[in-house]
Amino acid sequence: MLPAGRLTLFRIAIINILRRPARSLCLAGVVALLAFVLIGGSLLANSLSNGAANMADRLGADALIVPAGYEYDVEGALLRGEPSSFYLSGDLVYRLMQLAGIKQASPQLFIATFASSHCSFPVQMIGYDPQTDFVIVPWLSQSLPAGLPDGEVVVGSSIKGMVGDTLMFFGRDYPVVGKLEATGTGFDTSVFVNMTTARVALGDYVKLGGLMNVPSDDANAVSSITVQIEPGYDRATFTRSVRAGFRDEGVGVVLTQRLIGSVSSGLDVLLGIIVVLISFLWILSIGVLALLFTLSLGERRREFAVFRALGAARHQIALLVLIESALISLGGALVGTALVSLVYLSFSPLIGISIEMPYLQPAAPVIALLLVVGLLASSVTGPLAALFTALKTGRQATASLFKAGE
Amino acid sequence: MQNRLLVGLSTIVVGILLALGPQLLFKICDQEHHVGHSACYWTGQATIAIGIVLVLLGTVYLLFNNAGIRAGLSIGITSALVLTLLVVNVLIGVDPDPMMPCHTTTLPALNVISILSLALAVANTGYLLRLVRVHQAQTDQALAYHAAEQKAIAKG
Repeated sequence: MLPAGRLTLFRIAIINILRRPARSLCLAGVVALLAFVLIGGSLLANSLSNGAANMADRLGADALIVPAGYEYDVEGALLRGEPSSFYLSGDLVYRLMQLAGIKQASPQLFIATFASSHCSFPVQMIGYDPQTDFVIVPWLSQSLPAGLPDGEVVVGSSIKGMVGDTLMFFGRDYPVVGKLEATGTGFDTSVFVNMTTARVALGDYVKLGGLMNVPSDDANAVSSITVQIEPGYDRATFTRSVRAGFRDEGVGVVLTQRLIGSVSSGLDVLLGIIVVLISFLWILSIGVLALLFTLSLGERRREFAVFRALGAARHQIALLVLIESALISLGGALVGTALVSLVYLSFSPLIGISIEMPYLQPAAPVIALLLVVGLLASSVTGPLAALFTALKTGRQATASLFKAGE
Repeated sequence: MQNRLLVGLSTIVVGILLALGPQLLFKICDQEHHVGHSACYWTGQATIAIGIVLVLLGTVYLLFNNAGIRAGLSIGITSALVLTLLVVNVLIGVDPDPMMPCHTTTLPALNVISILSLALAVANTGYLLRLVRVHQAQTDQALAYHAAEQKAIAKG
């Protein structure tokens, strides 16, 4: 109930809305659903685009040389942070450098930690060679200009340790000296160490029973070799020459361009579905709201006739209908926006894990912008849907309104 | 009647979700290979207790038509939901590793359920307290009218 006051159009609109709570809730519910899907879809699309863009930035290398059959594992480690351990002979790096078309090559050592009894998730430890690396060093140098010392680690954004904490891997403590920003890729759940530290960790891993795939006779074993191809050199030729040159060793080649391409095409399909879904729901909402407004205003002809008889101008009747629809839409849009904010911000990490694609939540100002735009877009749906009915009601003569209301 | 059924039944549903959700639906971490119990285990135990309290409050809410009693029960429901948020986020919490299931699933699920229910419980408490005030004003008015009438009769 509203306190007593001057009877303005705005006030009459609020009284009308409160007088028919079920109808108002139904109309607001449709707008709330639209706001939820519109903003949720935009946030999801933005997070996926961010993730794909960041992945392209972070991969850095043109190709990755891995043991044959482990191409999918390395994709899983890079894109989704699925920890895996696989090994190649260490001298491959030097032999690889003899091949034509290679500008730079650097080894990386992957060690998947065990599932812990302290309620922590298995993570990927990535060892890199500071002398030759061209992928991780430029990235780490932002937080550690002096480089990463032996026995210390830098952790991805989703690892629980903070700078100054100590993390235990394979029974040995490692101080955390840096924490990276979120990338939306598997690097977020990885721990970075230099090659010396990685070799120590690999020794501990073997001692604790992680013998799978580790070559016992090769102290220089590596997991993958990141390769930068000479500009203009054909990638297909490079792949063929690596496969032919190292047939006996059994190596596989992962071209990052293809990796990015497959992610991008998957992303395009998903974004297309989101756009179609949002457009369909928007048209459906406008249709449903227009129908509901037409039906409800049809029932209220006598009420409008009384307003006209009391001296209300035609444009005032039309304005009253538009104010009612705008208020209902705004209420529904606010509820939908609040709901999607709560659900998206709470479940964003779970969505990122479940979707199995590079996923990076946008920065706070971008989220705020998407929320405001979504709120405005949903809020105008009601008045848009009611526009035709409002104009029609305003145009009708008093007598016809009375007649129709009989 | 509508309010009694709607709020009573939804409180019972929320209570069941809080009590059983962390054990069956949005599960806490597996404790089998654990040294002792993790934080999420204790949060799960606490939400069982709060869930049972909510089921009881919801059941009692269904039985009373008096707006004053229902307002009191609604304040109790609101307090239990605030307690859930405190247990899940501050008092006990979940495991610190952001990748663990309790962090990615149990925590957001409990937060979303508690916040939505809390918003509805606060609105319901406000509605019922206003209803009590209106009833009180009507009763006072009737009593004053009755007293004036008695006074007039006494005066003859």
